[in-house]
Amino acid sequence: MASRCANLLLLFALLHAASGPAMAGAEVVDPNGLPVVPGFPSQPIRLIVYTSPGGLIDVTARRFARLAQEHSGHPFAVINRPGGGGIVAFEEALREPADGHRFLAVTRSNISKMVATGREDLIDRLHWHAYIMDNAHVLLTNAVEGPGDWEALRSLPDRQLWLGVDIGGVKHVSGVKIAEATGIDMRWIPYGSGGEAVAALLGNLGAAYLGNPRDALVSERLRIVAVAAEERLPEFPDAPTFAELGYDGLEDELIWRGFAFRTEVPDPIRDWYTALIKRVLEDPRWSGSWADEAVNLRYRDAAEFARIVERDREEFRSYLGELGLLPDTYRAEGGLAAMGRAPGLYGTMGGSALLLAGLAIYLPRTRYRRRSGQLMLLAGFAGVTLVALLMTLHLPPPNPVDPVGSTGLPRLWLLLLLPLLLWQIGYCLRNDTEAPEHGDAMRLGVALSLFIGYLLLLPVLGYLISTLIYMPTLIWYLGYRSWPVIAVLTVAWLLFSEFVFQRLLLVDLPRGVLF
Amino acid sequence: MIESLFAGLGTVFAILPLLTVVSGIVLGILIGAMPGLSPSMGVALMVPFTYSMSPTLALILLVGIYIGSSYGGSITGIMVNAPGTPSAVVTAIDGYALTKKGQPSVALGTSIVASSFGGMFGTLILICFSVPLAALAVRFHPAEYFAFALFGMATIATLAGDNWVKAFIAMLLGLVLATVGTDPISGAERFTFDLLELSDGFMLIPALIGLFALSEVFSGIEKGDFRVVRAGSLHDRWPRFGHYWNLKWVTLRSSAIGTLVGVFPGAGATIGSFISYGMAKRFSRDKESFGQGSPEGVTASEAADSGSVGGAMVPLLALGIPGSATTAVLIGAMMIHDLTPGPQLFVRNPEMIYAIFAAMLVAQFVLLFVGLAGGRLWVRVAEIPKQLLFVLITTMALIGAFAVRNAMFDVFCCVAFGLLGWIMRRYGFPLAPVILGLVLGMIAETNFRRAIMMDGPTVFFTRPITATLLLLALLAFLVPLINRLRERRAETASEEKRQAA
Repeated sequence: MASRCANLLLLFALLHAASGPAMAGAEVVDPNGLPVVPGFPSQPIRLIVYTSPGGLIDVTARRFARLAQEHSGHPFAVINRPGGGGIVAFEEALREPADGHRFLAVTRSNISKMVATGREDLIDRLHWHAYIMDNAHVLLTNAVEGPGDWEALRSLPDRQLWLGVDIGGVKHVSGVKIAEATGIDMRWIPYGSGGEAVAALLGNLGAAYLGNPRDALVSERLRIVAVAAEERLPEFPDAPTFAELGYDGLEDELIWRGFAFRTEVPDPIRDWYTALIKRVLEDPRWSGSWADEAVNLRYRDAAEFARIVERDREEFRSYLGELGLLPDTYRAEGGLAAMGRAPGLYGTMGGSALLLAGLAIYLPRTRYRRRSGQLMLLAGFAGVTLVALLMTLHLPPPNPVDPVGSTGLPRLWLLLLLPLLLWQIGYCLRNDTEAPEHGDAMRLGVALSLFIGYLLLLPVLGYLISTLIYMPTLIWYLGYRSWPVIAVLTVAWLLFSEFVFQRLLLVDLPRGVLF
Repeated sequence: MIESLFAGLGTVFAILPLLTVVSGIVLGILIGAMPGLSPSMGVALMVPFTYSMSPTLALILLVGIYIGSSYGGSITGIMVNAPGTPSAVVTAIDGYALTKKGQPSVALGTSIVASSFGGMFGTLILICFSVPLAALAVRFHPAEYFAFALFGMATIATLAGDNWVKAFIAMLLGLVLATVGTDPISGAERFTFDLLELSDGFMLIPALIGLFALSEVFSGIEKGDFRVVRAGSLHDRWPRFGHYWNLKWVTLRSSAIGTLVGVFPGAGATIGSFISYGMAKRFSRDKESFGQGSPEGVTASEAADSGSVGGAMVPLLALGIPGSATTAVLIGAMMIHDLTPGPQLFVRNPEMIYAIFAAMLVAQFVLLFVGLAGGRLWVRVAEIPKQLLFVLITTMALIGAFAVRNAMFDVFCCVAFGLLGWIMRRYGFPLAPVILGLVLGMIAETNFRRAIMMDGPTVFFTRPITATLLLLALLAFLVPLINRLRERRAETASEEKRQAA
């Protein structure tokens, strides 16, 4: 039996070797018409989106994933990794193996965020693979209660309110460029999301909103008064371009969307993606799904995409610098300020920790021993409050546009917290209340050590093995002695985790270096 | 409208749509009950499963999941003090207290009935008044959102219990923690220690799991409190009709508050739950039982939470604007199914809109049925040996925290919040105010600053709605505190008299 298997394998190998030269000139394609890449894909492909579910880039990714799954015959999953305007998602993609099973849905906003946060290294560590679409920025007004056209908007008094999202984001930068070019004195009011800003415009809380053309579909009350594109949008033929209104240099204010992955992803996999992306973009359902949304569906290859990214980087550096939004634009001076900034900050924190340690030794020997725990907790809170107050010295101060500033509310909360903590410390010192029953601190200490040990083991042994060790150990330590129940519970939980979380819901479990 | 609604009911009352509603509710309850999976994550996870469905069926399924998961978060809150959603924190205050008293059935029964009623109320308001309510919501100035947030924070006065200083300290800690991350107005990094993972602040789900679930486990292990609560004990009977009838006014009032708050984009269910809880305590004849296992407290939170689902659907359907994180996902799902959310949907696809309305109404009955049936199963959780339960909760907490961003950083944050919760619990600091501060802090700050940027500091006094709301918030802060001070003074005086006698 074994020799028959070996013969079959040998025959297969010979056939494979013989077919190699014959096929060298022609591209090898799979039944779906995509180039064959040995060993790829070997698992579901994850398309990582840098926002929470529901935004336009999320919708783009999901529409793409749906068609890509059909065209490739492989499962695609959209994974949302919000945080840091894309930095969290990018970091994750860069942490994972460069095997092509993870790729990123990217937009122009990512470039502004990387520049604004000083993380331009991420731009360089990504391969900007395909530019798939863009849409022009448009200026919308509430035509029923507010200015009905560009001239009416222009004639509004100075310091008109323009609603939008994200300070330092793509739209903010476009807004600044438009205001500069048109001579309008505007004040940018950032909202948490485009939806909230559109709602505010419908409520006539601002003069205009800078957004995407599809925002105009929300209500008939909204009107596009100017388009930042070369030509009028076919879907909104009545809306003039800025060039038509007499303002040049605003023909290319847009948001693009595309895909990127690690630079180390091998060429055959890149080619596989290129072929797949082109097939999806050629699918009439893809273009049909974007009908009426004034989206410009155009494919640009990696080389052209990289040039666009580079151009955008330069532009954002310039405008964000002008707006004072580049990192380390503000730097406080003085002794107190030095204590609130690294390395002085670490000295301050170390000093506070030492002081607390001293209290921990001293208090139990005094008449306050029964209240030493609570006093330590309150002193710890007070220490953290003081350190945080020092740290606020490094935040940009209020300015005429934002009179409260980034320091206002944090300082208010901290300055309210501090006297309350001192009052409570005083109360504790004055009142010798009965110490509450706390139980067995040693048991908790051991259990906590086991738990933290488990968390530290995860990056090495992975979720399954670590949990297999952790669960029975802690249950046993806590005094439960029925081994069959412990075994069944552990195995059942591991199976549930693997099949329900990992496979059904595609919620990843921590992976280790070894397993 | 009535004919359209009947037509919608006709669409829903077929085997496939009904099965879809039931599946949505069951899946939603399970998702909501898993710490770490929020309603928005649950709906997003299920979107790919709807690709092959018709748009109407897909939306019925997703709305069912939304309704089910909004309720499901309260189950773990009641049974193991691990609320699945921020708004379920309020349910857990009295729900878990009831469980500890050996009455989990009372808590679960109260929560499911209040939840269904609140959901039904919200849906009816959505059907009848979505257009005028949406028109009202968009007129809300940031100053009014700020006043709303303050009104929510005023609940602290009712959560404070005996030691209001500790409650205020807890809330201020939450407010300070809410300022960690990138300042949404200026873009400055605040208290992040240059950690990328903190650039968006503390993730709410790991904080929630740590503060409540892990701290409960740590306290239980420290106390060696491994006693099993026997469900079906003498005190624990599934509530009868009379129990729910006695709660009719608090259910109605809380449903109305939840629905109204839910209508305002960005306000969220949590504010509604906290405000309803505060109001319920204020109007209750049995104020003392709040925090100790009051069915009124459970009702207030749950009715408001579920009412907010209908409320949040108002701006979604009337304007195409998301009122909550989950409705943002629903908008995305609509677009994936080539539908344009907003008023045009009423014109182009009225049959679908009324089918969704009908499905939401039917879903409330399904929720009630599934919840009551499942409640008898959930009660059994109380009978699991605590050693097993504690260890399971820690592993669930790990997955829940990790699932948010696939990062061990969030797991360690969760543990840190667990330790904070444990030590605060140890020295008598209430935990709900921390979440109150954490959730409302950002809403309060951004809207306060936005309001001043738009119209200057006088805006808080010149807009009648703002001024009225601020005045109400101030009264809500002060009245309970003054009453408590008076009571304490009276107690001290009578004590002195007794001693003198």
